[in-house]
Amino acid sequence: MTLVTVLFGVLLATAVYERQTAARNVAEQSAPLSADAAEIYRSLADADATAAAGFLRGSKESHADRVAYEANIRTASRLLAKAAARTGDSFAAQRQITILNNELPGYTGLVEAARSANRENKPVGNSYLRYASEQMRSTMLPAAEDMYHAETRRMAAIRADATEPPWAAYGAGLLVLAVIGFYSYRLYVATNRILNLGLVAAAGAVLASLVWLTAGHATARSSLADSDAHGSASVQLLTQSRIAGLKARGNENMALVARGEGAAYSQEFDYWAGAMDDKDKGQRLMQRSEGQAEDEAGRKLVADAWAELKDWKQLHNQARKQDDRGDYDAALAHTIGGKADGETVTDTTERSFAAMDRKLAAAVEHEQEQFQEQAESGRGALTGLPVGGAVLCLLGAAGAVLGIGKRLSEYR
Amino acid sequence: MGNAGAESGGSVRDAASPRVRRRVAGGWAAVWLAAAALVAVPTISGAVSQQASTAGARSAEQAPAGPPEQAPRQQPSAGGECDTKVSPDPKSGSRNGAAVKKIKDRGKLIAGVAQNSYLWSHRNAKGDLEGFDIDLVEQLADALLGDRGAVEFRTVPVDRRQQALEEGEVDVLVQAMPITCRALKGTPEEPAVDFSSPYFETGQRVLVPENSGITGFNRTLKGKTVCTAYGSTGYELLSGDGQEKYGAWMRGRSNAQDCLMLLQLSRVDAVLTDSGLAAGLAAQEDGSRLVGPQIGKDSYGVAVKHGADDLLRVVNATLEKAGESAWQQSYDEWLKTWLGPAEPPAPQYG
Repeated sequence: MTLVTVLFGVLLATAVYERQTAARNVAEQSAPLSADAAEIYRSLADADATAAAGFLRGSKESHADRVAYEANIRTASRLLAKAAARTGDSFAAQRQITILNNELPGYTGLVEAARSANRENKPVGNSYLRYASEQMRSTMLPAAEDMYHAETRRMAAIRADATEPPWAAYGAGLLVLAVIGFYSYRLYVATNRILNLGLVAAAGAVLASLVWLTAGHATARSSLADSDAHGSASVQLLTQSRIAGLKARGNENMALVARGEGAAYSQEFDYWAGAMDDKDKGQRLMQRSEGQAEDEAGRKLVADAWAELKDWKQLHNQARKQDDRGDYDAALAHTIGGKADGETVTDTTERSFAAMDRKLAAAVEHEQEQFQEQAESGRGALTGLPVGGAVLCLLGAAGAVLGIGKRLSEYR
Repeated sequence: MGNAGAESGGSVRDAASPRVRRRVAGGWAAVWLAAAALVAVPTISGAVSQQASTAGARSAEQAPAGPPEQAPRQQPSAGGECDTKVSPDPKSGSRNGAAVKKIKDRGKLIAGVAQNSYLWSHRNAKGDLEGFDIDLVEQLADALLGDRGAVEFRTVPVDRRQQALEEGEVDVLVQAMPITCRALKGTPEEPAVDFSSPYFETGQRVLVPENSGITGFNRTLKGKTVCTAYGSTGYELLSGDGQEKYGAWMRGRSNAQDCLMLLQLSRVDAVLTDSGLAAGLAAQEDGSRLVGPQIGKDSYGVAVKHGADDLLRVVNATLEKAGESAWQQSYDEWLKTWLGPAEPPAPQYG
């Protein structure tokens, strides 16, 4: 009987501990992992766009272009190394990491070749950059995307662990109560005493810890579910918006790099820009992000980003018309800045895009903070339960020992 | 597991248009092959052995991992049979109709030119366009308006250049454009245009690395991978004689410039393109040379809107006059180094 009570205590403590670990995994391990995967994906898409922007500026390539491109490549390779070391058990992710590690050096090599040919003013540089971009789009971005989804799925699985009810502990608790009832009955038959204080105390302790467990679990579960609905789901949507934006930007730049053969890139631009907020096609990422935002501040950031997106699309269409008309210089100036018809263009698609991306980045950060808070409070609900439950169970065991011991001593 | 899951991840790609989705789905094998090819050829310099690179190029050739956006843009260029010698003689009629008047009233010639064609029409370091085509445009401006500088260059996208002529956005197209029946007749997508008498005669040439054993479009191509632009005359040649008679492998790209890149990456052994473009490629790579005689014959012409005979007569008259010295000067400046001495083409009127 004492044994059974102690067993219950152990099961309770383990169940709670497991859930706590899972909740901590969500907050500390899996969420950052999927955030890292998203960042790899994002920085690769960003590298594609910045390489093209630097190329378009040619000999006037700014320090900022170069720094941004290099930072993206460095981020991607640093996070890839980190992910490779960490995702031990995720085969899907490992495979994508291998692909990305194989492709990245080839990609940067092609970009450098493009850059040096461009500086020598040889149009073959153009071919190199389109080829590099092709590798990026056909192999690397899909791999990064798959990796991101693999990590996101893993996070969902860990979260499911954290919210699964602790059946074993419940079962053990009921068993203990049944055993206590059984012994009470035996004692009643043997001694004719209805209540045994020790056993009552034991039953009370077990009941109390069961209630604590149930309540704690329910709270943890609801706040983890909250963190899913309001934290990581919105973070994912915003991340997808940012990446769609970067892909659109990359295509916008590449359409100009292709110099007269960029129709396909323009179509891709329309597709990705459409994915962000078109009503009838695409995924309405902006609308959904706005709907998912937790508070006023979050909604405001998304709304601001959306306004910039609209500006961007308008300016893009203008630049596209200029290019289609054969006015490449004007289209270029409206896309990356510079002079058109003797005047410096300030209202460029680059400015709108950058503003949108900044707002989206701020929104991601905002939602991520909320996600962290929720996940923390999910763990908070279970704090103290393993220790408290164990103490209660020991009390119960002691009660049982004392109660039965008293009766036993009466027989001596 | 990774693929199945990726389909359900609520990803951006999930809602992809059928076009994008098909590319993703069908592209896996190609992606793996391309990855394999890259592994086989890990560097981008010529440091790898010729053999390894050829193998890499070939595996990619057998399952073309070509970019979706660069699917064959045009059908083979010949476009059936027709008489290409139909340009009007300058002395056959008016040289001052509606088309010419429009340009004179405007005081400016609007010329559709390429902007990425080395030696022909290309931006120099200062951002100004220069090349053989640009010289010709300036001669046209001089003839029409008495001012070589009275030109507005428009870099119209290749796929809508004929449209641009038809809609009057540009007066002439001068962009190393072969005189083809396809362009003369028009297609559902591209309106018909008229051409001047030829201003440059060309044919297919083979470009190889300095140390190559290939001597031309012949048996030395056996087992070698040759790159050419989709829809070009070279493409037809390669898929016919090149493969059947000479045993060459073929790799298509959207344009000849891309082929030069593959040659520099030593993923192909040779490039087949017309001599005009080939000169532009050779000029960008010191370690390459043109080999063998010219195969077949094509001509570049100035394109104008269908029916603008008055303008064509001015263009043809300008070409006749240029044949006296301006043509030669321009040729010597841009092309002679790569193609050797040549004479201006004789006028051909219909």
